[in-house]
Formats: sequence, structure tokens, C-alpha cells
Amino acid sequence: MKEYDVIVVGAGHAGCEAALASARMGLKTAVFTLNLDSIANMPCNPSIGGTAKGHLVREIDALGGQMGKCADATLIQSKMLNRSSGPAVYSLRAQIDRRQYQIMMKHTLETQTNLDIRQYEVTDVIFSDENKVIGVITNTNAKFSAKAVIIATGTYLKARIIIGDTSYEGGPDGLFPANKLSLNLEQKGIKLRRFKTGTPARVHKDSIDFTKMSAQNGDEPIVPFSFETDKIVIDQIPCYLTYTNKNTHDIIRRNLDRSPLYSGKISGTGVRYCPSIEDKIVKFADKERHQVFIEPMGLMTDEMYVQGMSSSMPEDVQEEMYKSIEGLENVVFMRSAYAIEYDCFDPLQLLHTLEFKNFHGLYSAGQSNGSSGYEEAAAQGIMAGINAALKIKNSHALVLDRSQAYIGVLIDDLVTKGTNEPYRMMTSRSEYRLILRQDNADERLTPKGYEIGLINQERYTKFLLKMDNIEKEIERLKRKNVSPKIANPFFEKRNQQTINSGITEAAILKREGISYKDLYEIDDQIPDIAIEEKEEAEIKIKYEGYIEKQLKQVEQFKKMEKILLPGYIDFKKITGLRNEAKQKLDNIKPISLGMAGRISGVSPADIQVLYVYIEQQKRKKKEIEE
Amino acid sequence: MEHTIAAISTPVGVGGISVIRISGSNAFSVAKSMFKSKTPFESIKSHTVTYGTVQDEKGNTLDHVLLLKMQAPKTYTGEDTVEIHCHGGIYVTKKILAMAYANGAHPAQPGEFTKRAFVNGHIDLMEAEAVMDLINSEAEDTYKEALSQMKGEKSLQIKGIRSELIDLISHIMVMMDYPEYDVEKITAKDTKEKAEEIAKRLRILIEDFDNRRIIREGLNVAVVGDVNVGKSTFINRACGQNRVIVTDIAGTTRDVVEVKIDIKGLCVILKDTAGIRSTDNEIEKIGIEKSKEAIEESDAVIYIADINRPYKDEIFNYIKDMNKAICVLNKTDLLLENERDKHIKFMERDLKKIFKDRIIACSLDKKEGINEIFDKLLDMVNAGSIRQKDSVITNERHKKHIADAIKYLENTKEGSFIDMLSVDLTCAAEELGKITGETASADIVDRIFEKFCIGK
Repeated sequence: MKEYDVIVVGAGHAGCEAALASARMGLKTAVFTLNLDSIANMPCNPSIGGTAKGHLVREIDALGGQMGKCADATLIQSKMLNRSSGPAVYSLRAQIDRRQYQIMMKHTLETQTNLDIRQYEVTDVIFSDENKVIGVITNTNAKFSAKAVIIATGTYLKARIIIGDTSYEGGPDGLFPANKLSLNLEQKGIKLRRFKTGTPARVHKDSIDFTKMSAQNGDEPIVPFSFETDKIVIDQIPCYLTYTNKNTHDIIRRNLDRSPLYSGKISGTGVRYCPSIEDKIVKFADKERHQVFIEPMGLMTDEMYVQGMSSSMPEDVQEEMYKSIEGLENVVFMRSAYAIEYDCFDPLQLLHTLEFKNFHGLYSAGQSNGSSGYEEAAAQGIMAGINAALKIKNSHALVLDRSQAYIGVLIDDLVTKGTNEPYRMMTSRSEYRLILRQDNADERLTPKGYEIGLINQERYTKFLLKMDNIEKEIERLKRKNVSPKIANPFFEKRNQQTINSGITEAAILKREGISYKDLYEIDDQIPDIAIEEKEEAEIKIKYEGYIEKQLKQVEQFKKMEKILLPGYIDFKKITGLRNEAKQKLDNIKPISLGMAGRISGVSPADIQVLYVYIEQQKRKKKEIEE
Repeated sequence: MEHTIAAISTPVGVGGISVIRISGSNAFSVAKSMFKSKTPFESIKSHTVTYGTVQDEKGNTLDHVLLLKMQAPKTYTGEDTVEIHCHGGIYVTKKILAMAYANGAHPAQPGEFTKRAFVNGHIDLMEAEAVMDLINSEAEDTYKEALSQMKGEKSLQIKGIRSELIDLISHIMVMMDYPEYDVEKITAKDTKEKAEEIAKRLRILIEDFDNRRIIREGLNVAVVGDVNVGKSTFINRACGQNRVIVTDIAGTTRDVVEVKIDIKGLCVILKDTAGIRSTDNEIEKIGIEKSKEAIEESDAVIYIADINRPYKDEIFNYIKDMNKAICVLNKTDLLLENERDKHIKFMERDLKKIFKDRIIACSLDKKEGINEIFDKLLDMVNAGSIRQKDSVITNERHKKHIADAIKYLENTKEGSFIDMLSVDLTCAAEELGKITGETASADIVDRIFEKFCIGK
């Protein structure tokens, strides 16, 4: 029997990051996948990043992950979204050549030392009597031993495809489902849920009349995802925008009885974040039109993705409604839109390390935890990989909290609040978003990546230099005084209030409507540092007051996170807690008072009771010791 | 270090003196900024009593008080503690508490003084469980109290304003989370204007809070009984013999007549209710509902019956705690002289099981019984069997949250990008949520998907 430290089940976006993290941290790692040709597949939209998701990709990169690097190398269009809404919510999104991305990620796995890749379906996980992971069994009955197993099975567990009145067992993109693993895990006591998601049709480029649509171009210059990518120079490919119309909506309404969503055929919980076009028409009956984006699937293919037209209608209805859209009158389908139902785990069973509370050495990451999206999956993947490796090495776990990263918000939401639908990361979910910006992901996380060994010395030294440059520039701007004689013409030109005595450049920069590049007019000593470094200095000065305020909130937050709830606490026996709180606490077993406070159904008064209880236990212990 | 807390630690409106307690690392600085005495605050020795005055924000004297300064650790909570003993009037007491809040103290959470005492080792380990029980039961009281106060117009207003705020935030968030979808754009300027509009409404609400609160606070006494038993006569007589503070209280929409009178220093609000009886008449039904509500909200009940008629006991079903009820058997003047004592005894026999010694037979028409009724009421207050709800504290807490929400809304003036504004707005919504018991983050995400059609 072949022995591994870590076995990763599935080589999607979660599995790849998990396997790479574990192998790069020096552990003997294997990744098993149903099909080697589907490594890092994007069965839905051919893009990476977007609001909040772009933050995740940057954070993965700052920790030493792979997604950002592969995206940079294979992107065919890039945009920085939200330029007008403020730097905290700037978000990178890139259209990706899907096949190239897969090839590059596969090759990265192939060339990674300590990592074996093997085409297998894992059918069961083997445990010791103490519920500790020993290994896995494959469909060919091969057995492998492992100290940790990371499940990253995406939407493949007992997957079922639904297209109108037809449905069959099947995974995404015509791949096989994994029918045995979830059943076997359920028998061992793991709680499963059934979720649903969907994807629109892929159509032939030549059948689209782009002259009837508006082109959506990328930004220049391209800002890379990875802090290590220097520069990206490519010819960007446009996307196109068109709209549904009354005719489209009529077709859908007329055929609603044939939609499995409304006839009751689909039982899985659907996503608010990716509603099907039927859902949109029914829920927002007043809306006269919905946007439809046409996105290229890559350079070497004519397949186009039709964003906004996800559907589980029968094929004939799909074609009829697509054809009613301007520019798609003669559209030729290549793959139909479908809905997919699959098994996933209730994430409340997991610790913040993504290890199961009751199954030692068993981890889960990605859509198998009830999330949605490639970036959410990859973020969990890298954290599961890191923590499986750290545990085997007997090192402290790496848990990012809500004030440190979107990754922290994502995982904390999943394991503390659970989810009733595939969970999408959103800016609105992050309470400390002014300090969790995409531009400072490296400042927040690269030291941690270095500490655990995912960031090498060379990159770390560069990073320190960057931090130093930013710090110095901020100091310089704060010190540098500008006389009214120089400043006032500058202000007058911009309809800004003039001054009577000197003003620092930092104070000028803080004014609304003035940006760093304006300073060149009044300052000939601006140092020759990188654009990102200047931007960072600018943001830190402009946001200073707000950043300070958020840091104060974080301080409050940390206080509660630091009050730990020892694992042996029996919440059911704590007098004074309300029954609802007892049940919820017992089920979720929060590790800190802060986490307990985020559980729905636990009131502030319950938290006070818990606080007193912890204090009581401490004092009892002390009295015994004395 | 935990923040400094303040609360009124004596039953409000009862007794000649009220005590405001402030505890925490900033207790001394909070007290110092509102207290004037011959001895400078720093020089006051620990565990001594000092005479002085409390000043409001404009420097006007609010009250002459005794201040007790106690340095940690030898205090109840184990923290620096200040107690201000003031004259027991509701207005002054509240105002002093409000000054403590304005100077940096936070409203104390249910059971918080005791909790701190325990955490700092000032309460025995054995008592920890009692402390834990206390917290949730006090929270429940506070919550119930908040609910009963929040019923009606004001609660709808706060909820409405909060909902508008959530609308605004979700609009911003949907723009930030879905920048490419065709939702109407909202600029930083629009946002600031909207925030100011909401702040303005909150400011009006807070003024209203202050005005109305003064009128509404006191011991709530529901006057109940069948029709034509003499409820109105009782109220008229009560007003005639006592100082009337307010009649026909503004802002009440119910069909309940309210008067506020001063009875030997105790502020009492008498509510005349419609008679309770089974009826098919729609209008009367509404009146009865209001009566039930009045009983529910009351601290004590005065039940009036006509001694010449058989009494109806249906109403007893609505009085939760009969120990807080007084029975008046009215119209003794209509009884025949020779049968009077016998008849009274007969009527009292059954009622005694329910009202014990709190039965008064009299003729309200002849101006009898009023003093006895109020003496019984005062006895009950003094014996502690009826206690006024701590509405003042709840109210001050609400006011503090509204004031904080306003502060956050005002902060938006400084922000230049909508991402900055969104954080202040969310904090404001969180503050209002502390009154209505809702959390903002989940509401915002829900609202986004309720109101906007987005998603790929």
C-alpha cells in the first residue's frame, strides 16, 4: 500500500491549491481526480476574479498560492472593477482562456516536487477506531494510506444533470459523477446536504451578430493578480453585451410549466447569486430587460459563454428564448444550459482549519462545503492544504480571522453560520473592508506565507523592500511642506479652497478630488518607486482616518476572539443559557466568545453568561491548583 | 479593559433619593467632567462622600448631589466606581445619567455590574450560577420592557428609518458587488444627502423621545371595571384631590383617558379604560382590546365594582398578578342604611380570596375612599410588591443608540468614496438594530437580492 502524508480528492480549483500548498510545504502529497483532462476546469463562466472574488485571488497569491499566477498567464481580457467606488472595493476580473488555464495548472502540478497526480475515483475514506483518517480506497479497489485526506470534490458527489424534463446522473461538462463517496461518508456520520446550481449554454461565435451588441473592452494597462507578475502585455479580446426583451420573457412565461424548478423536479437548494433566467423573470416580473454578456471561452475555440442566461428549461425552449435576443437570432448551440444537483457537506461540521470536528485528519474544501465559485474554492483549498500540512508537522494551525482576510470572512461564515444555498463571497459580507483591500493583500498575508514556507526568501525580501518604500514615501509626504505660493495656484486650478499658511503634501492628498499623480505639478522630488507603491502610499494617506476607525473596531473584535472556549465545555449544562443558545452552541462548538456571538440564536446576554462561566471555570481550576 | 458603564441603580420615581452608579476605568473622568465641588475631583479621597453639584453641558446646575468616589479594587465591581446620590425626581435622575453617557460612559447591559463584580473576583465562586441566571432574566425583563415601549408609533418609526437605511446601504453594496449590472447608480453626493435626511429624522425622533418621555414616565395604573361602576368618577375625584400634572396625554391614540397626578411625591398615571365584557359590537371590541393592553402595560390595577350589582369576574383573567390589584366597591351610598354593613361583608367574602386586604368599600360620589385607595397603592409600592418598570433606563439606552447612529451618519460628510460611506452607514444601521434587535449584515445581503435582479 502506497503511503502519503496528504491525499487530495479532486483536482478542481480547491484541490489544486490544496495539493500544491501541501507539497510545497514539504509533505508527500497525492491528488486523485476522476479525469486528468479536467484538472482546474471552469465548467461555468470563463473568468476569474470580480468583486470580492478578486480579493480572494490576491490573498491566495499573497499566501503563496497558484490561482493568480495561472490567471495572469492565460488571461485574454482584464478589468479593474469599481474604479469609481473607492480603493477598498477595487476588484480585478479577467476573462481566461479556459483550456490554457487548465494546461498550465496541470503542468504546475506535474512539475511540483512531492506531488503525485493520478486518475482515480475515490470511493471511500478509511478511518481508525478513533475516527482518525488512515487512507482512501479507489474505484479500482486500490488502497492508499494517508495522514490527512482533503475532500475537494466540487459538484461531483452524486451529481445529477437536469435539462428540462430530462435528467441523468452526470457531473459538469459531460464528466462522470462520483456516486459512492458521499454515501459512504454519510454512513460514517457525516451530514450531507443537497445543493443546486446551473450554467448557461455555450454557443458558436460565428452564429452571433456582434454588430447588434455593444463591445466590452478590457482596461489598459493590465493590473496583474499576482504580486509576482511584473507586466502583462497582450491584445485583449472584447466581451459583448446584449439584452433580453419582452419576447424572451413571454417565451419563458409560456413554458414555465416545463421548468423543473417550478414543476418540483429539482429539490436541491438553489442559489440567489446565480439565478436562472426563469427565476429572474418570475421574481422581477416588472423588469423589462435583463443583461446578457457574451464571453469568449478562449483563443483557440469558437465557443462563447452566454452569461445571464442560465436555465434548466428543456432544450427546445432554451433555443427559442436565446434566439429571441438581439444578435442571437441565428444562434447555434454547442452545449445546452443545465442545472446540476449535488451532495455537499454541512460546513457547520468543520473547524476553522476546514478539518471535520469529529473526524481527525479529514478536511473539506470548496463547493463540497457549500460554497460557490472558483475563487471561493481555491481560497478554501489553500487553507485546507496549509492546515493539513501544519497539523502533520505538529505546528500551530493557520487561521485567518475576519479582520485579516476575505478568506477569513469566507471560512468563518461557513463554519459559524453555515449556509442554506451555495455561498458566494461578497464585499458586503466583510465588515472590515476598508483594511481588507486587494492592494494590501501582500501586506496582510505574505509574512504568514513566508512563515509557513510557501513564500520563498527572494520574494519575501522583495516584499520587505516594497513595504519599506511605501512607508518612506508616506513619511516624506507627511513631512513635505508646500507654501501657499505654490499650493494656491494648484488649488485654484481645481476649484479647491486656498490656504494662508503652509500645508503638507499629505494634507493636500487627503482632499477630495486630488490624486497622487496631481502632486507632480508641485513636487519635483517624487521618488522613483513602483506604481503600486505610490498607489499604496496614496490610499493609506487618503484613508488614514477611516483606517484608524476600522482598526479600533478590529481591536474590539479581537478582544472577543481572544477569549477562548475550551473544547471540553458542555454547553448544555451551563445554567442561565437559553435553550436555543444551548442547542446552537452545542452543535457548532465555537472556539471563542467572538465566534459564539456570531452564531444566530445566541443573544448578547448568552454571551455574558458564557463569559461568567469561563471565569468561573478558571477560578475553580486555580483554586484546585492552590 | 472593558468600557465604563453607567446606570440608575435605584427604582426610579420612588423614594426621595436616586443613585446613579458609574463603573470602569474611566469612571472618575466621566464623573469629573460633570461634577463641581469645593475640593477638586482629584483630591477627593477614596471612599468618602463629597457634596457638590452636577452641571449639564451648558454649565447649568442640574442638582445638588452627594458623590461617593471609590477607587478600585475595593468596590462592588472591583473597578473604579462613582455613585451620585441625587434628588429622586425622574427628570433630574435621567438627565444626570444622560450626562454620564455624554461624557463617555456606556449603558450597562443586563446584570453587567454583577457580572463585573464576579469577573473581578468580588463575588464568591458559589454565586456564579446565580449571576448567570440573573443575566438572562434581567435581559428578558429589559427586552419585554423595550417591546412594550416600542409598541406603536415610535417603534414603527425606528424600524422604518432603519429599513430606509438598509435600502440605502444595499443600494451602495449592490453597486459595489455588481458594478456591471444595470442598477441605478448612486453617487457619494447622493449618499451623503440621503444620510443627512435620515439623520434629520432621527434628530426629530430623539427630541420627541425627550418630550414624550417626561410625560409618560411614572407608575402606570389601569382603572378597570364594568361600565357605569364609577371609573370616571374615581379619576375625577383623584384629580380633584391631588395635583394634576397632565391631563389627556398627548400622543395617545387609544380610547383610554389618561391623567398624571402627583400623590405624595409619587408620580401616578391613571388610565381610564373601557369596560371589559363580551360583545359583538366592533367599536366596543376595539375599546376592549385597548383595555387589555392598558392592563398589560400597567404596574398596578384598580378594579372598581358597583356594590349594588353582582360583579363580573371575567376581567380577572386579564390581570396577571392579582397582588398588584386593588378592589373598590363603589356606590355604598345607594345601599339601605340598615343593610349596609351586612351587604358589604357579603360582597367582600368572595373577593377577599382574591384581593386580600386590598378592598375598599366607599362612595366615590360622596368623595369617600380616595385617600384610602392611594394609601393602599403607596403601601404596595413601599412593600415592593409593585415595582415600576425601569423604563427610564431602557429609554436612555434607546436614546444613546439613536444618538450614536446620528453620529455615524454625520461622519459620512468626511468620506469621499462610497466605500468609506458604506462603513459608516452600516455602523449606523447596527446602532438602530440594537434597539430593534436586528443585525445589519444579513439584512443587507437579503435586501440586495430582494430588490435587485442580479447574478450571472
